[in-house]
Amino acid sequence: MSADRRSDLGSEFEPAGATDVGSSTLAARNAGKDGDDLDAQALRALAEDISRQFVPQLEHTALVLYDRDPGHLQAQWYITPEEIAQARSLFPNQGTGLQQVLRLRRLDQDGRAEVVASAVQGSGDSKGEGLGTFTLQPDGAEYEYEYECELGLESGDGGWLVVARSNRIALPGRSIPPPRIGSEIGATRDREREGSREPPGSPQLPVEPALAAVGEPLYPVFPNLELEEASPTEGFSPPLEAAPGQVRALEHEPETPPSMRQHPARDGGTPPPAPLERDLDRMPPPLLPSTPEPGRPPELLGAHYDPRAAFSSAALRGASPPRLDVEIQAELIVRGHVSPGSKVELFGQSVQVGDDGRFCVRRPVEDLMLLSLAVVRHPESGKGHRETE
Amino acid sequence: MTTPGHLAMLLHAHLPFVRHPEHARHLEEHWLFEAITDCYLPLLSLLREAASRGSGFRLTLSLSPTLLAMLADQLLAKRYLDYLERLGRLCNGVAVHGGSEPARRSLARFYRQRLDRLQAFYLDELGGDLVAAFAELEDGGTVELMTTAATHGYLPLLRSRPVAVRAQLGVARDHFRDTFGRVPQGLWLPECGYYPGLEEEVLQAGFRYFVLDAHALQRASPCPRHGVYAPVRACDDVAVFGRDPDSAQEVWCPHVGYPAHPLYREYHSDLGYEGDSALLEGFLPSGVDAAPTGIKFHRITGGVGSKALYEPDAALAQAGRDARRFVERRCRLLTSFSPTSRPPIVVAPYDAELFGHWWFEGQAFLEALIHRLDEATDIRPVTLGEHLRFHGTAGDVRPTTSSWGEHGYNGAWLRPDAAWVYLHLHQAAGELHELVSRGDWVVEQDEAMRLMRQAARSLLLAQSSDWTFQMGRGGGSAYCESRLRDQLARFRFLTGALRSGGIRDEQLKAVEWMDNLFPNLDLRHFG
Repeated sequence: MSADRRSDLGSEFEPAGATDVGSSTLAARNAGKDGDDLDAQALRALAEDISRQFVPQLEHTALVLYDRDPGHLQAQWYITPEEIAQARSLFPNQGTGLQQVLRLRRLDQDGRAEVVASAVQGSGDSKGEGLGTFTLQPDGAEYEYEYECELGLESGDGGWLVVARSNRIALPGRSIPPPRIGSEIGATRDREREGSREPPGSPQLPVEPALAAVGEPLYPVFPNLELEEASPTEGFSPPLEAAPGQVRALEHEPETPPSMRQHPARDGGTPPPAPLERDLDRMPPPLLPSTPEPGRPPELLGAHYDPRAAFSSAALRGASPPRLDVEIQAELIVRGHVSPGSKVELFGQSVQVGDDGRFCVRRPVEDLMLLSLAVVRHPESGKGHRETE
Repeated sequence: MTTPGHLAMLLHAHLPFVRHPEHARHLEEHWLFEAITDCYLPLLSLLREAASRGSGFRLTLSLSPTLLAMLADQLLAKRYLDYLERLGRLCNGVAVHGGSEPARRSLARFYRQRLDRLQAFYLDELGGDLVAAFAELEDGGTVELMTTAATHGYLPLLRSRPVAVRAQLGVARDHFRDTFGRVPQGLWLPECGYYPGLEEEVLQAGFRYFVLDAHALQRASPCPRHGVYAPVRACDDVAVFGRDPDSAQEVWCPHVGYPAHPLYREYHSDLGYEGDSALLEGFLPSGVDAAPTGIKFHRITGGVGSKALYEPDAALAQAGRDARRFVERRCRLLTSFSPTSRPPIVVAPYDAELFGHWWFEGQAFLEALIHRLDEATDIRPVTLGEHLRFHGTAGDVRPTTSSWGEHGYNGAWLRPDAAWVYLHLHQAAGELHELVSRGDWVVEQDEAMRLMRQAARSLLLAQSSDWTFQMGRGGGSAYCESRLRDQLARFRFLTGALRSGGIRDEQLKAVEWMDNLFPNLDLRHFG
């Protein structure tokens, strides 16, 4: 905080001087006081000044991918004005006609990447933040895919400059129908309510016939959570026009997050939320498609979030962006095999070891020197161009 | 003889930190006061009564750190007494109001008498100390206490910065230890939010078990043999219990759940919305024209249109019938399993605030439930830790990403109105991590520690899942967004001061007083 800003923190915060603030200052009101003796009015003035002068703002480029709902990914991004200007300057004519685009990439088990969806985020002139939502269409694969998102600038003739890359999210290749959770019970109680208010005896629960049908005396697996070929619930529905295995970006206008909106009214006067409505929304949920396949090495704990991925790749040649798209992903992959049950630590973090003793950790390489080694050569011109970070 | 099946009732008590010393009276502080009056005091009363008569009832109770901080706060305790006085006067006003119908006057007297009983219990029996009363119940074996993340941060959406998850868990554990003198065994994951790998953080923080919604285990790898009816192991020494979907449905379903019965009290019809400003003037904070008072005259009735007047006796009788049915259904399920040495367990977790506040008769339901369980021979109430201690886990699994929110995933906290927040939270967590780790501040060491601790408190408060859940959902949305922005602004103010030295002691003291939770906050959790 600068000294100027400090002095702007309202008259309530200035020291009691001979000529200005007198007894209305925080210092004067609260001199020698602690705890609940502090003056509410002075506290409120401080709180309001802080909220007014220190409006939340993002300072670093970031792109984060979230597993929002079954079959839905959401990317949230921000790019600093300096970085977007720098990126634009790498294109001819200061990057006129560029679009900011989110690309969703799917990586298979062998690390092969495929762009499966893209969403235009804006013209690339000034837009500094946004979100993109992608609906996934499972392709029935028995293994997991990893997804990551890239935010970049795209020119009309195919040029592509990556500005930021997200963490990765692992999802299975096949979808699972939702369970029938409690639906029979609901029907039973519906019948009760429709009939007598207080029926004699207890209604028949679905679990008993289910158990009888199973015929397995020892702890049937989920006796009341049967799988069925039910229609996907809302949130599962794949896009009608999407082919199996494909992904599309949701068709909506890129939204400007409200982080820059005016601060809402602060004082009391708003009724409390309605947790009953909130909690009644917590209906039994559908199944979730994120189970890893048995035997697959566990992934690095947590998602990768590395804003330093900004400008991690670029490919520029001559007067116009090239068709070829060189991309450098510097990543350290550590695979290992230890005795089952062993504990492993790498980079200061404990690593999940699979039942068979295998483990795998992937970590972005942060040494930018590595990135400068890539050279693009065109066979006709013979000119070489070093990659830029 | 067959081993009786186990029933683990679990209540999760949580409110966001709604303490506002910067206002003489603040509406959102009523959230706490209403919950104390409607939920926590009645719950303590019935549990103490059960313990005193030797009931075998056992309850696992999650008390969030923010709630505990508010329950122990002297300013809020003083304001709670003022709230009780105001509410009592409001009841009196209705009871003697010339225009009131006799039935409404009778209900007003009913509320007044109930309030007098609760106030006497609070002051005379508990000495105004709810935290000590909960601890006493745990000492007596009736209750097993557990905690949740420090400010109820939704962990799956904080995991982009692992340090944020670690801080939420570490601060919660420390606060519980400081409050109750022991390290908690159980962790309630906020909103049941889970992602693969979280168990490692839970383990590192020293917890032994947590609870997941049913689908997290149903899609686990491998699928657990006993479904949700036995705890499983997620990693070394960390067990996972699955939420029983049937008992959840019976209570939560908006159409056929117990609280939807037409005899029960209607929550949304409240004296505070009837427009009698003269009557409400002394009760509501200045500038607030309409807000819930807790004085409600109608029952659910059914359908739309006019509501029938509330009849407490009929509603209480219905609560008894619903409790009987609840126990019968659990017994039927548990006795349907084949006899083995491992008793199956039904885990039934609920928000504690449902019972008494949203579902007014919920406390009567619990009381009747305790009596029914005491009479039952084929079902035994246990706490989660107790079950784990004696019966251990049944296999190793890797659960799937899940929550108990809409659609069972993360979407309820990622809606467009709230999604922008997370980049700010990630950035702030990273910034604090850098400050704590590198120590590149310009102020004196003692002041730096105070500033960083206060910045950490601001960040933790901004991470509360309550704000992002409620934003864009109508009532309370503006307040929640305002709180989130305020906390992020305070974070910027404090971290800026660390770098430039531009803060006065009275300013820091004032911010410390406004966000005064976690007095012993350990900065190592953030580094």
